[in-house]
Amino acid sequence: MAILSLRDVSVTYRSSGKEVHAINNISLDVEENESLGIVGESGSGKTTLIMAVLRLLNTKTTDVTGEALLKGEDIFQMTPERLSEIRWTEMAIVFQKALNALSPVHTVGRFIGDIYRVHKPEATKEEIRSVVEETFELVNLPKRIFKLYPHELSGGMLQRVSIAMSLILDPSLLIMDEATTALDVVTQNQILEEIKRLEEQKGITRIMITHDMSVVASSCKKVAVLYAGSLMESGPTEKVLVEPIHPYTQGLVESFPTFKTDTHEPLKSIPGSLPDLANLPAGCVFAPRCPKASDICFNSKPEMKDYPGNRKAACFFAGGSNNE
Amino acid sequence: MSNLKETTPVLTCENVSRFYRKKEKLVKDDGTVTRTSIAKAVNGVSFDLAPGEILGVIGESGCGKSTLGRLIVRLEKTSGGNVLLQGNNVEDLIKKDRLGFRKQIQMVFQNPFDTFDPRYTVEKALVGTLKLHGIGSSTAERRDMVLEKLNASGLIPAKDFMKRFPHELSGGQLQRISILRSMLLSPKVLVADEPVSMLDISIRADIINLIYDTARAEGTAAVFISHDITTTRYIADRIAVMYLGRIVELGKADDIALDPMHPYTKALISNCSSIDPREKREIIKLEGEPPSPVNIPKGCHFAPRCPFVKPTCFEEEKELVEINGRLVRCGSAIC
Repeated sequence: MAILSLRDVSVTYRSSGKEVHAINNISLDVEENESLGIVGESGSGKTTLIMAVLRLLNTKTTDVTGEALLKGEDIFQMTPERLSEIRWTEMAIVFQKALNALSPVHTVGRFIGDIYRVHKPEATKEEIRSVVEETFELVNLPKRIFKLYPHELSGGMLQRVSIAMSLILDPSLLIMDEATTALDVVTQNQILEEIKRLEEQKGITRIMITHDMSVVASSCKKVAVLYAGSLMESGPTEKVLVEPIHPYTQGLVESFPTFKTDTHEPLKSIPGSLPDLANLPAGCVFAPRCPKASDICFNSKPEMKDYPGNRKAACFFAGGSNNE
Repeated sequence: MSNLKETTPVLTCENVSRFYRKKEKLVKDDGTVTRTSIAKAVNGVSFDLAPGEILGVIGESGCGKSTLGRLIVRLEKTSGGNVLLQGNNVEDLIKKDRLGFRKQIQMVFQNPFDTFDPRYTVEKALVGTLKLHGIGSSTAERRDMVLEKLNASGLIPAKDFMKRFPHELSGGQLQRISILRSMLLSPKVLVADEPVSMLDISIRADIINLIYDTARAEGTAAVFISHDITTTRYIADRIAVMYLGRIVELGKADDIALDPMHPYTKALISNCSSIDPREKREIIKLEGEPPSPVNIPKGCHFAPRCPFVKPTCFEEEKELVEINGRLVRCGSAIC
């Protein structure tokens, strides 16, 4: 069963008379134990999508439509009471900047303990402490940091604290928003390894939001590619990143430098830049930058279609005659 | 250094160091005590740069690569050692003629939005740079020079770009303009500090190609500072790997990337990203994080985290030794 199903989710920001279409009709299923990577460049709407799912967007300035079913229950229709019940217990998030996610005037142990106490009011002080320390152990943190403040920890340790915080109530869905982006490669790999181990141990399903495709390649089973608020392509990681069928994914994969390619053979890039989200093109959002675009692409929007190998793509030419 | 051609180096770093002093207040039971600690950000770095050569400097955050860049363009004074531009000490050059010195060494920073005046159009910023350095005889001539540069680098229509303010451009476009602004002066040396790390992957290639092409065309030597080895390997002729303020390995880009010798370089490259999920590389795991430059370990700086460590590594630090046309600072790599 899908643990999280998005049905036709759209997010529109209203600002100074303009309507910015940050997310357009996204439908997506996250199956249990199938970690999903959502990749996209800046402005593609990956964080907006997650903020909408977490119900963290300001309702006065944003319109969210569609359905987000968490184990069959629509998050968008939940009462505030129900919402605070499921936060941290059913779904948890790890943000990019761990330092900003923690309180500077509380020790990290106290801060994490508070989350536990709110959800389990009957817990004693000793119980909370032992649970927090156990969770620290899971992410390879020494017990002594219970009494330390965030500014006393290094970036890698802070990110581990954030992860410990998200795991403390055993959520079934873990969302990581660029959680390893600010870290060095060595630390990043250490943390990714730990996450993968914990996932198997605890049966957690993970959604990983990142602009770094290598992170997805090494840690996710499935991948969804986002561009200008629309879904371009999705499917198993080893298919999508190796033989992409959407021209945008193809461009992304080609512009990623590897050790295999010859040096000083000019690197490729995708010409142009992101369309204005307040004034989206009538046809495919990628058409203005697409090397394969023809008339139809500028006039009508391609639907997400199924392709062999359990993959989907939104392109008139994907898998067709135009696709070498 | 022997692996360079006979040409006289345009830039030489001789034992360049930069130490930061920090006074700390320690509150103890018997009152307050102050202690001075020294952070060795850059510690005895030496290299030569031939005209037109591109040197990549890589390392994790805190290894001193950005400080090295700032020392080369003399945004900071060295604590020890000398930076020489065509044999002349930059300290003397900057005292004699600050503007003339800046014209010869230019720098490109990570975030282009911080390096442009938000109230200046691209035209005002670029033509103003030329005027300041006395290039071109009239405003019209300077405008034409700028237009030509913009056109040549694919910022078309250039006339349209000239009228825009920095906030009306994307990060990639502004970074390209920032590089062009530096290259308008035909500098001898260009220092680029993480010029692509805040840009999207799909446009990074434009920046890399622009630096590579203009540096080659003008014969400008460049120092490309980055934490990303794959990108650096594309652009650089040689790569220097830094760890805790020291160069641990220096050699041809392909040699370093494909056949690293120093254990730290090996670990760094094995941890390097690949987007092919089928590719299963053996990742060398490192324990912990780099120590702070205040508490540099005795002996080899990397010894406490090194997977190939020997007892002798903790006793004394090795010098950079030349092996097969590259420099390595390690006891175990040599044996």
